[in-house]
Amino acid sequence: MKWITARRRHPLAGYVVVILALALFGVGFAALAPTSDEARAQTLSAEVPDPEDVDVANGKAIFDQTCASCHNYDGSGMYAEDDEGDLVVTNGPDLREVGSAALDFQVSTGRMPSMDPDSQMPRKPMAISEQDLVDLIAYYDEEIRTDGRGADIPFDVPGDAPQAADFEDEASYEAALEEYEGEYDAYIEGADDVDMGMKLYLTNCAHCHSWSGGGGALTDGRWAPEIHDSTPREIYEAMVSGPGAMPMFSDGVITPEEKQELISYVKTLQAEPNAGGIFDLERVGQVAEGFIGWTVGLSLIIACAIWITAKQRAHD
Amino acid sequence: MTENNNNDHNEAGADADERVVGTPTDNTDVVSESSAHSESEHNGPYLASETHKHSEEKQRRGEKLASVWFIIAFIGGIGFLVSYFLFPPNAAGEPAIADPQIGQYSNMLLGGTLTLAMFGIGAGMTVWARNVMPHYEVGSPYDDLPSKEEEKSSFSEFFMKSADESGFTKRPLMRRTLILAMLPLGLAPVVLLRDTGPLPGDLMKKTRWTDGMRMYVEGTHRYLRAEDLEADPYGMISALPALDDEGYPHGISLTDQAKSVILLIKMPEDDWKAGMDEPVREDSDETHLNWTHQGIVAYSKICTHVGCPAALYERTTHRILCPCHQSTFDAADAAKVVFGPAHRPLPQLPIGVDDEGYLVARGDFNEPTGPTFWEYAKD
Repeated sequence: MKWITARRRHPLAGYVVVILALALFGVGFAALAPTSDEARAQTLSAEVPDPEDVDVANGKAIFDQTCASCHNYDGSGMYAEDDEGDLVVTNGPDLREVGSAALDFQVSTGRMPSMDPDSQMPRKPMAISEQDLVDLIAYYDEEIRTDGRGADIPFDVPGDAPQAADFEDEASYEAALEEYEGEYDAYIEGADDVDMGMKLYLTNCAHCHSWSGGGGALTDGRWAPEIHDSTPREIYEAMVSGPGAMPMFSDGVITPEEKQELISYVKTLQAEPNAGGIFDLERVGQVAEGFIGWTVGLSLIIACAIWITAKQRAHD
Repeated sequence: MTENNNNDHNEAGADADERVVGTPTDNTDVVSESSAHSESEHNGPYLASETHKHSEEKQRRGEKLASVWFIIAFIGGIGFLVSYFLFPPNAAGEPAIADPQIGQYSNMLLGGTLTLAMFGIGAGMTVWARNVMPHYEVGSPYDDLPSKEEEKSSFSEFFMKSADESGFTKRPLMRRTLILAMLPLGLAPVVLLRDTGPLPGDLMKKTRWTDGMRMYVEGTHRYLRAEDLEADPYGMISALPALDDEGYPHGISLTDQAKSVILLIKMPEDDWKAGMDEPVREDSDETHLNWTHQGIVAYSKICTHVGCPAALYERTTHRILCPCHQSTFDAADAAKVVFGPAHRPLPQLPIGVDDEGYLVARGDFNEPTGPTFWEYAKD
């Protein structure tokens, strides 16, 4: 302490305090800010399933075990009348008209099966295997879906990347990965009107999901999830099926070509190289930049104030 | 100010010729050389021996440095005025700064020169205080109001003494350059009044929507049809009037976009609430429900609070949330405010289809769009 006592009246002590405070803010923010490098849940890239590979009976078994407790055995959901005589969902909503795209989206992003029907589900690794999902969707299409209502899975939009664990040997995995990357690049680079994609995203999506895709708050504690980890197919499925509180954007409202522009914009934006440094702020947006601006700016103003009002002595 | 009792008797006297504007009179008792250095007369934290009057040489250097700053400030102030007029409107009366690149240059110049002017004055004054003014502690305890006569006169004495000691009276170069630096800044707000322009008339109450006008999905140039929303029982999309104004890359100016952008929302028709059966205006026969088409309703996307785009639409609750101040509107209930600082519903646009099945407006909004202003309800 003597060391401090001896130097705290030094003319430069004020600046040192300001610089230390700045450094503390900067390092503290960098340490507390969430990292974006969380591992992606990656599963096998799904093609249109070959009918011979599909086991509808297995799909029924999975549905009855994991879905029916909330959505009912015929997929009609569970409803009760409230005080005003309106039907409200008690456990799970009616699935008969939502379409297979909704099913694929909810299950492949791990949101279904849900542990708690009253709360919004976060993105998680998928709970069942890829083959089980194919069987489940086949059972849904055959037995539960009414007149083919709702949107189909967009099989021509690239989904998840293949995962090494699903392949018997390295060579076949590498071949599958290369094929997937080819399809992915073709889809992303197939879009040629960045301006349209940007406008569609900014005017219809960015209010909730934020301009960078980081997500944001809604009413009553709901939130719009971040979409950095979403595959093009998941984004497409979310648009046509409207999961949770999200409105729907069918192929009539935003055509498949326009959706490709939009998805390409989102994925290209996220692939932009990060300039790095401790003040890259995870690219969360203007609010964080404003915060830093205030901190740095105010510190400089305080430094100026210290200089202006510093007392002068005879030996100065 | 307190100069009165010092100079009211010699305003027209012989001394008046030598007075410089903004300085005290000459016959005021100058006390600068008198007591500041006596050990016994002040009780600040520093001994009197540690306080001092700067050497004449240092004061002269300080004066020059301060003057340089004031001249820089003057140049900045003049530069502000110049840069304001640097980008005149073109022959058609359109402002040159409407071009974003020019606008950026203009902003940089205005901000930069104003910064220079204000910083120059601040820096010059700091140099003045540190290099020209003497330094010592003065205690001034607070007393009851109003001050006694002798206190007033002692204050004015002190004031004049300080004015003198500060070098303000003795350093004409610094004083004049300071006054020079202040001049353009004083003029600047008056000059800026030029921007208030003519009154807006009914411009704020009308948009470009007219009866029969089709609509684009915002960002595309594709007319929207009612059947495009058939596959969305709970759809939503931003749309713009299908204008094709020459000269704008997307057919419509940003000003018109900001006023006329709409949010088309589709919901099952049994979700409508009682508010939809109310008339759209007090004097109107039409209800909000008459202004919808097959479950599709069109509201202004601009929040009636301060004009942010309110478009966080939750299809489950039919709430439209504005991200800026959490104003919340119920899309199923004529966009009435259910929460937040907005105090009137989002204006509704009457819609229908033309004979080719395209969605069209059937007129303008029922109320002025955008942030609420004083006269919004008056005709």
